[in-house]
Amino acid sequence: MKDIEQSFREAFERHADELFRHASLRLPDRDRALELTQECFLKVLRYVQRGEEVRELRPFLFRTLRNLIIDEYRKGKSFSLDAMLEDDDGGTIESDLLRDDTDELENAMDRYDGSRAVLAIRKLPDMYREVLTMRYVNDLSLQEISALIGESENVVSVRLHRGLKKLRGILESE
Amino acid sequence: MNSFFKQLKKESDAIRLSTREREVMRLALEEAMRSRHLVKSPVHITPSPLLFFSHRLISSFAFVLVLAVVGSSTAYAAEAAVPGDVLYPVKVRVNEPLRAALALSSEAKAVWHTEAAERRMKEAEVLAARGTLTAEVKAGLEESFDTHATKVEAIVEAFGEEDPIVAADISTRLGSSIAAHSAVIARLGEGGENEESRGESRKLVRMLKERGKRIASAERGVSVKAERSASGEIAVRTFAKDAGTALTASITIRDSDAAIVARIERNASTTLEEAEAQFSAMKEKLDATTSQRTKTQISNIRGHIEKFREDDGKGSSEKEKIERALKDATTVKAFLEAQEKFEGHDLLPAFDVGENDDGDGDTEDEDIGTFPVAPTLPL
Repeated sequence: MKDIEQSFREAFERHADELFRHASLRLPDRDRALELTQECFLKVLRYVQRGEEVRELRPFLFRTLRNLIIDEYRKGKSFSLDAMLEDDDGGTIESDLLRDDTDELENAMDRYDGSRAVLAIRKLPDMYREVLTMRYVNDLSLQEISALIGESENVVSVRLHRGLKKLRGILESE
Repeated sequence: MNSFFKQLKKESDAIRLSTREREVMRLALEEAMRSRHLVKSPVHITPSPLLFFSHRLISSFAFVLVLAVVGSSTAYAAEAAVPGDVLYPVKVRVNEPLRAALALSSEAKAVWHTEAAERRMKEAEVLAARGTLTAEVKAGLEESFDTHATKVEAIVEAFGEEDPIVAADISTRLGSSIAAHSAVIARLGEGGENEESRGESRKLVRMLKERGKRIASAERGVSVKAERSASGEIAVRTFAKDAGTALTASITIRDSDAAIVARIERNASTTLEEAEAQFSAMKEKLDATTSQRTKTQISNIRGHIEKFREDDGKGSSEKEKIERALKDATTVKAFLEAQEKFEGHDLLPAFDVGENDDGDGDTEDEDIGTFPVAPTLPL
């Protein structure tokens, strides 16, 4: 048990900031992000204390945090599920875009000044905010994101692509 | 270089837990680990009797026992002990080493040593209030304070290169805490009846201030570009020693200036919130004038922080302003806490808090540079 707790402590020191960063970009206020980050660690701690096996803590922590955020959206009155799931592209089949497009769009994005990016990201529907934050703020790979949110890599890259497009729209309109 | 995603990353890197938030969270987790152990009965029937005797389990039982000791009422009562009390040795020989052992990362260690240094100053406050701060006791406190402060400095120096934000966070925190508590000790010592105690408080305050200056100049050495320093030879020496690191650091550090400032600002407003909470809890006990003046002080500091936020302050001169706000908030908080603790004394309104509305805040600091050390006290 001591070994587990030890590695748990290390995980806390190593990942607390990035989880908190993720949570604060997804939630409207900092305090709530703080609470959810702590809750996430407590949950995982309880889980490992029960003797359940966790192979890698980081993805597990991210997944737990993700679930907490989803719960938050579900019970939240201040923001609606619609806002989280909104996708005004409606009928487009997600697989009609290739991953390469994401790279091109990334290059195009580089023309914009990134200093307002954090603000702009907050304006996106959460569905995109989630993947963009994971990808560009938390530096997770497509593969990791896909495992985390339970969607195929293709869906993830399409979502990233659309998110970037929307982000560009927001930046252009400013 | 200026690519969108790099910038985004940089901006979002500023979003992080403050040292305090991190510490609070860490404690909550430690608490959770502990309670889980204690709730569990030691006569737990395990599926395999062999498992029960495994080394790992036995060592974890030892760990639980130690925690149980600290959780016990003696250890708890010892937390409030000051030198001369029966329980004081428990506090410094049992409780504190344990806390120190629980701090694993360097950042946690720095936070702990900062707190330990604070504890020594708080003990000095109690003794100064009682008028029993003898030369011998003072020497002991000073030594322990010095040990902890030196450790903080060493960690900050090590951090300076890789994580200037944490380094600045820790050293401004220690710096403002020293400024705050030395002001409280000065105020308490002044009113003492015992000649010796009064003299020793005065000496202690002087030592603390020297230390405060040193920390401030060292901090400037790691953060921001090396600026002209008027804080005398101590600062010069620090710079000479750090010249190598300061130079390499200053290149990478300019980028993180904004993050440092953001972090200090966050600390300042958290501290102020704590001071406000403390104030509203004890408001009734204060007379109208004192209450009003304290309220004004708090709202002044709030004003500074808010103005700072609006200005979207960046760069080194802005850093001084926000450091000043942090120091003022810490001072007000320390005075409020002391007032609560030492009911017989009239400590408020907090002393040595910048009441000048804005300006560059430096005018009353004489020549000591950026660090907001108290001007000479009316002793």
